[in-house]
Amino acid sequence: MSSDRACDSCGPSRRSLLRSASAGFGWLAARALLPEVAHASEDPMAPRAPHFAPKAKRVIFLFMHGGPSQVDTFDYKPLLERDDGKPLPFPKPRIQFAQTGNLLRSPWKFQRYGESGSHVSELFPHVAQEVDRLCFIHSLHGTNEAHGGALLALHTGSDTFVRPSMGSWVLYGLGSENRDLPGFLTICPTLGHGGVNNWSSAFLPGVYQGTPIGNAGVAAKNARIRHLGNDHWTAGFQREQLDLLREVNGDYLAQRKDDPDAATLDARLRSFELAFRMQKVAPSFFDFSTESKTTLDLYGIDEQPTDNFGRQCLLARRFAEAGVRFIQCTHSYKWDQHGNLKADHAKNAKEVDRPIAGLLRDLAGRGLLEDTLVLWSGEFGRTPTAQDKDGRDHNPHGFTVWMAGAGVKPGFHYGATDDYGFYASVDKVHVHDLHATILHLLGLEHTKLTYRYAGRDFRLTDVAGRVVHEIMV
Amino acid sequence: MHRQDRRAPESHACVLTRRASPFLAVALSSLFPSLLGPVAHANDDDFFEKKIRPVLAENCLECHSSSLGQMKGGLDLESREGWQSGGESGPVIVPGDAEKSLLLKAVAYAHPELHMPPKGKLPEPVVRDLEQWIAMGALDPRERRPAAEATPPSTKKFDIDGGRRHFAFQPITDAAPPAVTDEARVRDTLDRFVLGKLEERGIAKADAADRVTWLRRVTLGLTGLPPTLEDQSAFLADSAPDAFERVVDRLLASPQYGERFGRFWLDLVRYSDSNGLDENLALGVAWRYRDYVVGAFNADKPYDQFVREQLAGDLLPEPDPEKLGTEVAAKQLRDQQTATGFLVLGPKMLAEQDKEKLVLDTIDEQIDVVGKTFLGLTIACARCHDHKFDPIAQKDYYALAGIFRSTSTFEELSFVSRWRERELATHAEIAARDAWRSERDGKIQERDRLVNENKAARKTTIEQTLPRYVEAARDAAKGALYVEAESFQNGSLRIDHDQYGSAENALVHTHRGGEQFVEYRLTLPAPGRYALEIAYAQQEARPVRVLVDGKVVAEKALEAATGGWHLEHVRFATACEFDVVDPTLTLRIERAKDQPPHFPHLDALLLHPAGLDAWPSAVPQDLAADALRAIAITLARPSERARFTSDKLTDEDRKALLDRIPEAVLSDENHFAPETRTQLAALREAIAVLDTKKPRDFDRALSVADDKVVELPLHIRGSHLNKADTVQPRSAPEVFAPACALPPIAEGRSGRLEFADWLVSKSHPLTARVIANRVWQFHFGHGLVRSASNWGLRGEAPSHPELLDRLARDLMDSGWSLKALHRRIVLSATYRQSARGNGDISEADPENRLLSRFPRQRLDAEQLRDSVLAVCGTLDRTVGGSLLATNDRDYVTNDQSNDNAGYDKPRRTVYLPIIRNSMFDFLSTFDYADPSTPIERRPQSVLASQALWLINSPFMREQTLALTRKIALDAGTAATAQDLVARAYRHVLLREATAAESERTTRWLSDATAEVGAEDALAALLQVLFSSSEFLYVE
Repeated sequence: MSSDRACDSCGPSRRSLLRSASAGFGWLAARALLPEVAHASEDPMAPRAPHFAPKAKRVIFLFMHGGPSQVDTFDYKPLLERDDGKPLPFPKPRIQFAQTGNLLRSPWKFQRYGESGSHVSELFPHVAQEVDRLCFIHSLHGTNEAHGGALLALHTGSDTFVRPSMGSWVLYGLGSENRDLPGFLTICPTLGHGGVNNWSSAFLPGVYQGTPIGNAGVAAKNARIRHLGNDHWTAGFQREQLDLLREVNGDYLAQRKDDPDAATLDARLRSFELAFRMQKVAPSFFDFSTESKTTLDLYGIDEQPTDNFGRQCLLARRFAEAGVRFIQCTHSYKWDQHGNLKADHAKNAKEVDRPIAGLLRDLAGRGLLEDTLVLWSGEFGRTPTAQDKDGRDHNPHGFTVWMAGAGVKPGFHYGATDDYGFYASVDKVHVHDLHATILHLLGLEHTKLTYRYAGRDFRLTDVAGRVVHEIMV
Repeated sequence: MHRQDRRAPESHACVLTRRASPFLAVALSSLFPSLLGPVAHANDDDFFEKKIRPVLAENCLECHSSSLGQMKGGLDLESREGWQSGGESGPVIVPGDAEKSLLLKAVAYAHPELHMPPKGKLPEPVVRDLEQWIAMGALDPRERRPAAEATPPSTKKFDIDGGRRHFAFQPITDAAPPAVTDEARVRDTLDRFVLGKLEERGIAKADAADRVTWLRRVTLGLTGLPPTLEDQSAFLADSAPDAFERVVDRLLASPQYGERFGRFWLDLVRYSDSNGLDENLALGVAWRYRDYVVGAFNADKPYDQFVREQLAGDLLPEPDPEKLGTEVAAKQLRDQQTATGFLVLGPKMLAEQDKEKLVLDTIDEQIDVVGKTFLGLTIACARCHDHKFDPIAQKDYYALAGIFRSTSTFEELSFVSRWRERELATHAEIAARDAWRSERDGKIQERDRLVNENKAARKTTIEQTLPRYVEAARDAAKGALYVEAESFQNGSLRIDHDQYGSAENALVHTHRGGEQFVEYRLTLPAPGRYALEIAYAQQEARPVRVLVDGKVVAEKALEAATGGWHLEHVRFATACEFDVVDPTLTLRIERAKDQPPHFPHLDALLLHPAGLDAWPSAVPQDLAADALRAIAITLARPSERARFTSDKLTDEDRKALLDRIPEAVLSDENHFAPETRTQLAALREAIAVLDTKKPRDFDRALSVADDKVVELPLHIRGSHLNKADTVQPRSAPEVFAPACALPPIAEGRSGRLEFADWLVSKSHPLTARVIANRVWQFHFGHGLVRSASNWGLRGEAPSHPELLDRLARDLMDSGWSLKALHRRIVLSATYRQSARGNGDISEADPENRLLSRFPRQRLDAEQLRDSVLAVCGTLDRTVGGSLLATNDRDYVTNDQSNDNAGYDKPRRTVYLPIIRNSMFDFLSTFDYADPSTPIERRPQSVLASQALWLINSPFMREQTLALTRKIALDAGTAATAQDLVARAYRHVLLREATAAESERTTRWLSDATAEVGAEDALAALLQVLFSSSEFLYVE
């Protein structure tokens, strides 16, 4: 499946360690508790030193599924306002998802905020207050004009083939700081448009796949990790059950302690202990009773329409605090306004604006923003040209994303689209470049983070990717 | 625009400079404004030095410089010679002709594909400078540096002869097995090869495994299920010398063998029941391919035939029932027609709007899976460039791609494209069905033509006397009143324009629960006795009650069903008659007493003088009663009566009136000529006869078909927007020639069959080796070549090359019988040895590649789930069929909802739907990787999530409870804890508990019983045993 990709191999690869992939959470415990185990160095989840000093230790990815419009949010275009209703004065893309008509001005007013004087539309009044923390890239561009392809490209770097997701690569590169929780969590992810492929580890060992908490069809309030907890027995009885199991497996192992795969059997034994710890620890993350009213208010929790995304954001903060490496919150498939732009973009923004601003403030207040990178992005933006009178089509050719926190310049703007916001035109940043930049902020050189599969070394950025140093402090 | 970065990343996503500095160029222009005009430059050299050299240096050379060792796209912009010879897309500058120069198109972002520098367009003045420079002749004083100074290019030269020497491309040898000292340990020739290496290295081999261990190993290995206690005691009691052989023959003959080995094959061919990727539609007939695979292995279909069918089954001759017998021929035909589903199973970007890209990506996926599965080669790596490691040139890729380009995988390349399916039937059956269909269609057309002609004729007849009709109708209508059902003044019913009714013609029916009624305030023409007719539709009896001014005039009306709920089922029926004194009245229709609230679907009410047989009663002789009634009903609306008068009918009026005559009236055949009626009756009779002979509906399966022959040119850097001029003739990769070359492709054919024949020719160095190695891997966890789908130069060398060749050769000599290969392996001493070795191999052979012991293996997902079901006595052993709850081509997932696959069925796991993008979480937890790509080997991971599943999943709870109840029933009420423990051990671990185990577990069970009750305690104990390493691993 490597067809159109070059096959350079460079940099250290841990493939020999991981090829057998007979490893997992169990190894963590094996290493933590039994340092004498010969294969402990193979622990695939142990924290690992990055290639160079990192700016960020973890990522919170706020994914706006459907494609929020850049020209209605953060990419202010006065000429679009002026030329409302006129034809686009340059050609539309060779391939379009659907036909669009003439230019459509934004129904929302823009205003400058903060010391940076950044333009934000009235859709995001709360985020606007945090604008001096944000680092905008206005010239992001991808290549796929359909949701499925664009989601996969954003999450995995490929819209053609199944590839490991960004979170999986990060976990593979850095391991996890928390041994009782998965290192890559995705909260209420979408099951469409690539579904699990957007958080799968593809050919990377399975330990690096994202662990979903609920899905887009489940309210964040009810989202949980699968099989985490037993409905029938008390923890006390389950402990007794696992004690017996430990003895049974211990006997089996004792007779085989000289076998070459004794470590695997040991890991198996201990995987039950870890599972038990996990089910003990993880539920506390979902219990917000320890959070102050002020904090809950910050995220808009227990209020509508912010409760759902607010809970996702607060969970993200709690997992970040606990050292989870990559956390994704998905605002599912809401931003696709081919029509009804005015009403629905406003509704969507209302659902996320306060939670996002709350997350930024909360992270900053706890000092977490210093080593946490927050990324806000859709799978693409929308056309400045209209679909009917109140809609916009998909636009992968130029859109805005922003980052905040570790390592990125605050209150900074990079790149630009043309006068109407259709194409990225100045300092273009491809999705591959975004990936290279995120890895760089995490201390990973994107050309060196490789994995050998089917005869060649793969990267998140394939054979492309430019680190956008210009946005870094 | 901008798509270049995806399609051909290497050539375009390269970065010309990390710190591109358009500002420098701008600064230069402003420093030397005099140089801007075309006539202003003193000399061309100067122009180059001032305006061009810095631009190239700043923006281009980082990626296009021979001395930096970076020549992306093969292009060197560091010297004149560099750009003169050009890159992979040819020369980039045509001196004197800026328009024809690729370089200018790229920097002007005017090329559909190439945009340079990729990071952003150079400022306009700089682009104009470049244009001017080229137009002036592109004078460039820079000369290529002497070779010694230049860094050698990073890509090494493509070397096909060197590649041919790689073992995988060498003919299969016929090496004699090595001599071994321990002859007693040789059961099959293959043991000599294994033993030989061990003896050579001085590694001690393991003892033979005991019978119980071997039985569990071979039973799980060949069928995916554990032996039963009965199997075990029978085998232990069997002292005949061929006891082992008979076990193996029994297992290979069981349908469970095909299910187990079939699943292994399905991994390789990325089997799935949904498309995945962007449009996750159900591959609703894919399961027929799965069942084909299971059946083929159970029938021990020769592997060469199996390969030919999957690549070109549709092109094979139809089996001859005379020679083979009807049943065998039919089965064989079905196999051939189903097998090419193999090529269609891949995930496709169905909503990709660049349809050429979709087709080429699909071909790429096919080449990838064909290359890996049959050849063990990563041919798809050569899509954009010659393979970096293997002797597969880019032209080999396009030669092969031509074969698949000449094959059709899509029925339709529409917005969401449709993959190809076919009907499973003989040509004769399909021809007969088509003939039947066209005969029937012909008769129907003839019938419809006759009816339409006569209808039109009748319409003309009516039209000719239309004023007479209007006159008569007006007379009748004067005493009548027509009321649209939706014009009620008061009522609870819904006015339906879109569900049963239409935009023009509403139906009125039940809205929601509660009292159901409608009331009309009416003014009748005069007092007297009236009949009420109601136009309504209903499929079942929903009688209504009619009240006039509060008095019941009909207790139960509209009892007859009309055949349906829709407009087409609307009929008039007389509801009742009643006397009217005051012509202004309230008519109420309500649901009859004690009836459910559902209402008939009302269309209209017609009130006319009562006591008549039919209304209108007076029909002049020259008019037809039914047409007159239709027009009278129209004119019974006071507004219409005013509009249409017989003496001044405009053309528009005529048309409007004729339109009011229902189709049913016009086509009433009683008005047709008698000979027409005879003709129609004959046609109907013929159609009815044909209907009794309707051929059966044919099953469908995924399939490809041959298409127009298209040979492909090289796609430079893999981009379909940048093609070479000459096409590559279809062929197999050159590295196999001349020893094994593709036979000539017959005129007008895709070449798939020739390619398949080439693959299974006995001189092919890879096909037999690759499958023999896979069968070895199936039993030992790893192949002799561990990179089982990559035999190229970056693959791993075989641990036992001679053994590999021997197995491959014997496989071909056995008539490609895979069962024979399985049989010899599982009966070999190498397979029969214990997993517990003799001595430490952590230094000598840490990965046990030399097989000095049997490699312990974890149950895979299917073995685990099926074993639990089997042990708990709940397994449904039905073979084949589909559990997918989604219709073919419907969406299996959307953004919020999971698929509705029947994972809760206690069928063997191989039959559970495989849904891309939304895998059954149990399968992914236990290492079933993504079914979008070929899986050559499943990992055997140890994950906490596996532990969570084992201790907490509802499945384990249900199954252990089922077994608990069975044990309790068998043991009886008086059973002791010790007895229960013994039974639990026997069921799950197939052995007696040791004394220590028995004592410990009995104590535990007693305590647990006190705590959670007998049933839960035993279930918890069973769960412990199912979670034990002894159960989860095969030794």
